[in-house]
Amino acid sequence: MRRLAALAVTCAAFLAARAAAQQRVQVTIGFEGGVTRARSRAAGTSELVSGAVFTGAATLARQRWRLRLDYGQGNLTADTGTAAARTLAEGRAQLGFVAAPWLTLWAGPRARSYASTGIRQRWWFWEVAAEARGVLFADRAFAFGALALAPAGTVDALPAFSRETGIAAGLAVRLPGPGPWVRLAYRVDQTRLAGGRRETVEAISLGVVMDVRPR
Amino acid sequence: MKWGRALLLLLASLGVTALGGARAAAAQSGTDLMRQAVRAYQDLDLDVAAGLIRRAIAFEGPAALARSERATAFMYLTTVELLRSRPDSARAAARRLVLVDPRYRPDALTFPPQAITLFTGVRRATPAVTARAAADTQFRPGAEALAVRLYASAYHTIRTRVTREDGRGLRTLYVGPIGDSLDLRWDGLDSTGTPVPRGRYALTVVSTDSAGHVVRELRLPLEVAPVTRDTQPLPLPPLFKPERTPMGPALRVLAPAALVGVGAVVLPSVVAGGEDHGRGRFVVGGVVTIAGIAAFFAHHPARTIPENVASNQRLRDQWTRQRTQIAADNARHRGELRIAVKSGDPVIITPEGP
Repeated sequence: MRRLAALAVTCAAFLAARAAAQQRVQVTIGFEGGVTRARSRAAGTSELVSGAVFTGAATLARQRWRLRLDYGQGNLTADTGTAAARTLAEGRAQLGFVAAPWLTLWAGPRARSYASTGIRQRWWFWEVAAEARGVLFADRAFAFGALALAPAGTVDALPAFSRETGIAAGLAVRLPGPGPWVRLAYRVDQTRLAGGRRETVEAISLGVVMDVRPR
Repeated sequence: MKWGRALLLLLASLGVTALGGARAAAAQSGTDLMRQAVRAYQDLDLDVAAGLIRRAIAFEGPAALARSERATAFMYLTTVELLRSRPDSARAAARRLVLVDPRYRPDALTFPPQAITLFTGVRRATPAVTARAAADTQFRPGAEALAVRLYASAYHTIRTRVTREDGRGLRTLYVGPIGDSLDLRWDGLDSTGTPVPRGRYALTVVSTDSAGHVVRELRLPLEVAPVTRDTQPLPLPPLFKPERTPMGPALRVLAPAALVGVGAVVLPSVVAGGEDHGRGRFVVGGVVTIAGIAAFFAHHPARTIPENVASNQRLRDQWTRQRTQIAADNARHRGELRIAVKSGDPVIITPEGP
C-alpha cells in the first residue's frame, strides 16, 4: 500500500514537474533505491534494522532558487534479536538558494516515520544544509557532498529532541548523450535525544535523475 | 579784399603741407619709402628720390628692407646719383651694393645701361664674398662634413679658415682663387685631425687683392655642439605561450573528488560518532576518489604542448636576434661622435676696401 503511495507521489511529482517546466522552471526528477541501516542506542541497549528503501524526488529550479521534494519508503527488518521490523517512510520539502555555482544552501522540514504493528513513531526535523559540488568532467560527472544540521525537531514518544547532524557524499555521472544522471550516494545522520539516546540512519543508494524538458 | 584772398591762399598752402606731412608720416617702413622713391625716380624727381632711398636704407629693425630690397635700393641709389651727375656717390652706392650682395646682377630693363656699366665696373673692382650654409646640420666628424658655398663678386684670391670665436685659427680650408662661387666642406676636425670641442667658431673668408693685401673679411658664425644619438630600448621579452598544459584544471577536478572521498570515509565518525558504520561509505568514497583521479589525468596535467614549444622557440630566436642587433647598434651609436653645427648670418668684418 505504501509503495503504491510512493509511486503515486513520484507520478504526481513528475506531472507537477512537467507543468512547471512549461513555465520556464527547470525541473529534474529522480528515483533511487538503496540499503538503509537504522540503529538505535539507549542506555546500553542497541537495535539495528536494515532494508531496502526506494525514493522518488523532484527538484524545481528557477534562477538561483531551488525547491526539492522527495519521498522514500521501505521495510526494515531486524538485524539484532531485540529489534522489531518496521516500515520507514521519509520525506523532505526544502527550499534552496544557489549561493555560488558550486554551493547550494537548503532549509526546510524533513519528516520520518517508523511504523510497526499499529505503532507509528513520527520524527520531524527543521533542517539546514549546505551542499557543494565539484565538476570532474564538464556536464558529465560531478562529485557532491553535503553537511546538514537540524537544531530543532520533535519525536513522538521519545525523550526530547537535542539535535541532528548528517552528511552526504556521492558521485553523479551522466550517461552517454543527453542521457539521465546516475547518482551514487552515501548518507548518514544521527539524532541525539535527551538522556543520551542516539538514532543513526545510514544509507547507500543508487539512482537515476533526469531533466524534464517541455515539448 | 586783397588781404583776405592772400590769407585764404596761405591757409590752403598750410593745409596742403600738413597733408603731405601726414602722408609722409604714414610711410611706416623702408618698403613704403622705397615705393615712393621709385615713383619719384620715374617722375625724374631725382633729389626727392635720393632722399627717400637713403631714408629707406637707414631703416632698421622690423621696418628695415629685406636683403634683396636693400640691394635693389642701392642700385636705385647708384642710378639716381649717376643721373644727378654725382659719379663718386654712385660708385660708393655701388660698392655698398656689392658688399650687401656680391651676387647681385641689375635688371637691364629697369636700370639704364650707364648705371649697369658703372655697377659692373665697381663690382669687378670690389672683391667680396658671401657664404651660405645650412642653418642646422649634424654629421660625424671626419666622415661627413658641413657644406658651405661661397659666392664672389669678382675673381680674386681668398683664404678660408675655421677660427675660434676669438679669431685664432684652427684649420685652413682653402687658399686660392674664386671666380663666381666655390663649394667648401668642413669635416669638423681641426688641423691636427681632432674633432673640435663644443664652442663657438667661425668660418673666416679673407679676400685679398692682386698684391696680396687683405681687402675684406667675411665671418660665418658656427656653433658646434656634440650630439648624443638616441639609443633604442631593448625589446621586451615576447609573450610566450604555455609550453605545458596547466596543472590548475586538473587539480581543480581532483581536489573536490578527494575531499568528497575522504569526507565520505572520515566524516561519518564525526557527525555520527560512536557507531560502527557500514562499508558503503568506503565504496562511495573510493568510487568518487577514483573518478577524481581519472578526471585529473583526463585533463592532461603538465603535458608538453609541442606546437607551443616550437612557436616559443621561434619567438625566442627572433627576440634574441633583435636584442643582439639593437644592443650592437646602441653600442655603435654610443661610441660614435656626432656634432651639430648651427650657422649664423655672415658678417663682413672689414667692409672698407679699394
